[in-house]
Amino acid sequence: MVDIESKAHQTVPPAEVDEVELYHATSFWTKYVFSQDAKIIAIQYSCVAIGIGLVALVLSSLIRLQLGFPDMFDFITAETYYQFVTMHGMIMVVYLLTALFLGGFGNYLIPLMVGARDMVFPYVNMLSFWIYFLAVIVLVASFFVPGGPTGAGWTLYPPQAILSGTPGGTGLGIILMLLSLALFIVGFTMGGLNYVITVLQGRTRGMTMMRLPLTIWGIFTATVLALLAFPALLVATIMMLFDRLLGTSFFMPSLVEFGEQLSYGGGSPILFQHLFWFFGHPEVYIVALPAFGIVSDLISTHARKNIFGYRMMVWAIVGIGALSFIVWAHHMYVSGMHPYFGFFFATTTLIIAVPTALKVYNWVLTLWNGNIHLTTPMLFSLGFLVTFLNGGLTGLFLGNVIVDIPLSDTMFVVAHFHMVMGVAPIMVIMGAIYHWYPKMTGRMLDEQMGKIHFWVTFVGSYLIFFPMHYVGLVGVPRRYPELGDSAFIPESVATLNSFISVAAFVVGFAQVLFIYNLISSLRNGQLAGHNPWRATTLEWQTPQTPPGHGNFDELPLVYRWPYDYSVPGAPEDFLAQNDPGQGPVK
Amino acid sequence: MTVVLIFLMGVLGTSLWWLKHQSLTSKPWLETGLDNIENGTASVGLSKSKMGLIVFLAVVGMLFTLFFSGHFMRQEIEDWRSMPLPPVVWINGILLLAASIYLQAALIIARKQNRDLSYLSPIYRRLIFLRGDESSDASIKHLLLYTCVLTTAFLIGQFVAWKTVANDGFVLSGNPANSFFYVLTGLHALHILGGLIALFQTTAISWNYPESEKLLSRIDLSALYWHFLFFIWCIMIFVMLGWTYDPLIELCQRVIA
Repeated sequence: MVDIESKAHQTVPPAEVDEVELYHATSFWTKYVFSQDAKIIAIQYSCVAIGIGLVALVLSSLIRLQLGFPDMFDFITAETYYQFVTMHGMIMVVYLLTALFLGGFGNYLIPLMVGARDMVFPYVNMLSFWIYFLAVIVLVASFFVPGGPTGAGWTLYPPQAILSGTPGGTGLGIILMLLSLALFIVGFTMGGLNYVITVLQGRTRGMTMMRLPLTIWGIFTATVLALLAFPALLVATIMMLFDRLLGTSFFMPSLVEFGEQLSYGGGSPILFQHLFWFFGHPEVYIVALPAFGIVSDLISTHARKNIFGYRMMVWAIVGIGALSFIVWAHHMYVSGMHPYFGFFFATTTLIIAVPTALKVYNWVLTLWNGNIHLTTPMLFSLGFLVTFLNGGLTGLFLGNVIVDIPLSDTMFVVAHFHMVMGVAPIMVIMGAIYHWYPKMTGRMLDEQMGKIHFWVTFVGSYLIFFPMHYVGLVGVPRRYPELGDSAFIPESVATLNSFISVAAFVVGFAQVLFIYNLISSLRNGQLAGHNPWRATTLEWQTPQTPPGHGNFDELPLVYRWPYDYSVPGAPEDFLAQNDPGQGPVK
Repeated sequence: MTVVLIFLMGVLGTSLWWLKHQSLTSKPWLETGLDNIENGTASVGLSKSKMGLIVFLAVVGMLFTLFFSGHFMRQEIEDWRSMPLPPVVWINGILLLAASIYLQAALIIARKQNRDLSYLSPIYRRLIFLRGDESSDASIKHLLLYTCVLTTAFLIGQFVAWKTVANDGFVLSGNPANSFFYVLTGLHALHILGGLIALFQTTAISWNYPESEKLLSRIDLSALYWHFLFFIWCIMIFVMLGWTYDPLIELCQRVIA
């Protein structure tokens, strides 16, 4: 802990960031609908993301209905099953997690935490949301077109993605999917420029890069990754749209379909895989880095202890971000690549474990001897820690070529990535919502309901995904709507599948409690006051709660890093970042 | 994907170089107060919009680099038949270069207030066919107008190029080489079009409100954007000419053999 030093001659440096002229909305439409205020945009992003995420949650229940109780439901055919799987995956990864972490939390927290009045380009920020909204509309529209949405799997691999054997392949399904992705990327780029430039150029006086809360470091680095990685997906979608609509052969090899020679020829499906995973792997960290950042702040605040190894944490975030660009081909071990490439990518993949493990150790050491308050945000943070560790360990298995090849395309992979980039980030999102909801609405979420929500979700997720590793290890392939009478699959798999499904329904249903909590606390929640968690970061020091337009009356001056908790001699046990620290304490 | 990795190394290198100046080794838990912040807080001495444009250009660069990468990977498959570029692309190149030069001239003048064309060096003045007898405001607005005209001419020229190759039988779906030609030039033209819309606004401002404070920054951003897109255009032409292919590679192979 740091003793407070007094600086009698403290000089206030001149403002380096000009006072921005904010757009002051006057009508309801410009205030709440076409709003240029990052906080409103954040809530818009979050509501749309959670809304479409609930659709994906329902889809996952339908998937589990089929897997747990095959042949019982007439409305689930092989085609619809593939459509459910595809849309579930794509929505969860792109439209929920990416949008919620960067569009939702990024928009809300960046200006507040760096001490800015708003994002640097508010108008572009507004466009960003509305283009995202349009992308979601296009995505949802694909459920209602003839032939339904695409069922190509979330990776959309050609050639099958645009052939008639795949649901939505020759209809509108795949076209709408690709269009929606392209829109999403355009919208995201607009938002992403805002997040990056606000962190670079919009910080208040005293807020050096090394005084940024780790939340901002995580979101900032993830945004940089996203800005560089999403173009790869854009390139892939453009080329596939050309293949599908205009008969080019970027990805399409020469094919005979139902005895008919198609006009395609020579294209390279592997090229698509490279482009897709060049986006796809950084995407994992686009989701994980904000989670890393947020969870660091939650742990530190709710354990009343400074984060252990702040510098290390920053370096690890940057290091993971840089490394994430040179591991993409570990998703393609079975594509027939040169063994030396496999070796290279396995090595880089395992190297990522170093900074990641470093972060896990630092979280644990932050908790060590901390004054741990088992609030709902803390419970979710702990849930994240355990889940991420578990998911990460199976990642070490899959990163090795020789282990990956037999496990490739089995339920083991499904269990792995659901643990590491499904459950783990969702845990952080939940924790973050319980943590920042009081600032966003002025009222606390119900702790009792929160704890029930946590335990059902946490235990339930383990009941779902732990057995799934076993199902994968015995060789059950993913993407099979039913297993039939396969000799190598023991009967226990069917029992386990039903068990997993029941657990999944319970967990799915528990989220209703969460949504109910969100809505009912708006009116009935306990009043929060301006800083219920006694946190140090700037968003808790705003004059109004929820923060008004422009965030602060006068822009705050930042005197210290964001982790001065349990400071000896401080009037409360923490010192806020804008607290100059009165008087020497020895 | 090698090209992408090289580009990425450039971007990451720049970021790391910048990070190095962010006192990443400081110990923030020991350093309180405001007066030990050496370099201030705002870390890049550029305006927000310029910084925004630079980051945006990095994204655009990434986009084109990925297409180039795709081009290289696809051209290794045997059905690839390189397409002769229509001669009009060379004229287009000169048009775009000229637009860039005129815009740069406007920027140089705008940076020096109350200076007119005589501020430009004689060589530069000869390059843009202008004498130094106009007042500053007048020359800025004319230079911007010429840029708009030249860029529009470039877009029309590109359209002519598509027509020409299509008439010669090199249609979009005929061969992947053609597909890449249309997609790459089309994407580039879209970016030019976007910039042109902004430049039209800037030009309108320069005619209606020559004293506007925004003018300099807008010209500055446009100039950067134009230079970048001209640079991309040059690389694009090199890539489509297949410069990694025949002569160079054969020569290397012969040397090695």
